Amino acid sequence: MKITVKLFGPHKEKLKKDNISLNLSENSNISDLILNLNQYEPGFKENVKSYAVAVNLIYQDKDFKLNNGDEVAIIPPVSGG
Amino acid sequence: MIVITENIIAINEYINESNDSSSGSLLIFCGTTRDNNLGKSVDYLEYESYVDMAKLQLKKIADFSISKWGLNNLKIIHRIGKIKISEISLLIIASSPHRNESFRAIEYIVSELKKSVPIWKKEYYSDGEIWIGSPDNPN
Repeated sequence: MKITVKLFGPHKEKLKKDNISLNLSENSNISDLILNLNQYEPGFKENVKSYAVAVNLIYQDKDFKLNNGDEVAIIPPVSGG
Repeated sequence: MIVITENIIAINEYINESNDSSSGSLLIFCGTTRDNNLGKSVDYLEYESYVDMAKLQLKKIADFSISKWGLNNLKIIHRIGKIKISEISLLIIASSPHRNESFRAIEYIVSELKKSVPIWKKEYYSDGEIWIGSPDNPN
């Protein structure tokens, strides 16, 4: 299934891109996606411990099952205000 | 009303729109950009947002606040993009029959915004730049 991953702030800057398209196997969850992203950024699975993840604009836990066409956002610690 | 904008926040227009005859309190909070942080002089700031999600999160916070504190009117306006020192980055206007409700609501809204709304701030100094709150700089 095809998943679009959106990147923001320091993470976007580090990878020099604002989104990544991934092909994941059916029944993949957010933890699987994070392992997959590790190929783009070695050490990502360690860094992501302080990040949140949203699927289709809603925060979700790491065991959340993904569906084809989902938009997944990697959310670094926020600092608005 | 929830607004995320790259434009300068026209505070007086928002205040005029917020007046209502059933409120005895019209409370205004402005977050402004400071010229110093972490012992360094800040030249300017830049905010980035995941706008669709930020609006959704702000609406959840606003709906909860209106319901819990019985606000008559609530506006949350956050600016993004490049912002000069002393400009307004965040404007919240809450009106309620009595003052306690709007004070409590605004305190809650600012606190929740800083926890869950996907907006990121980058400070620019004469000798570099830092994303505030990032793992490389948790301050």
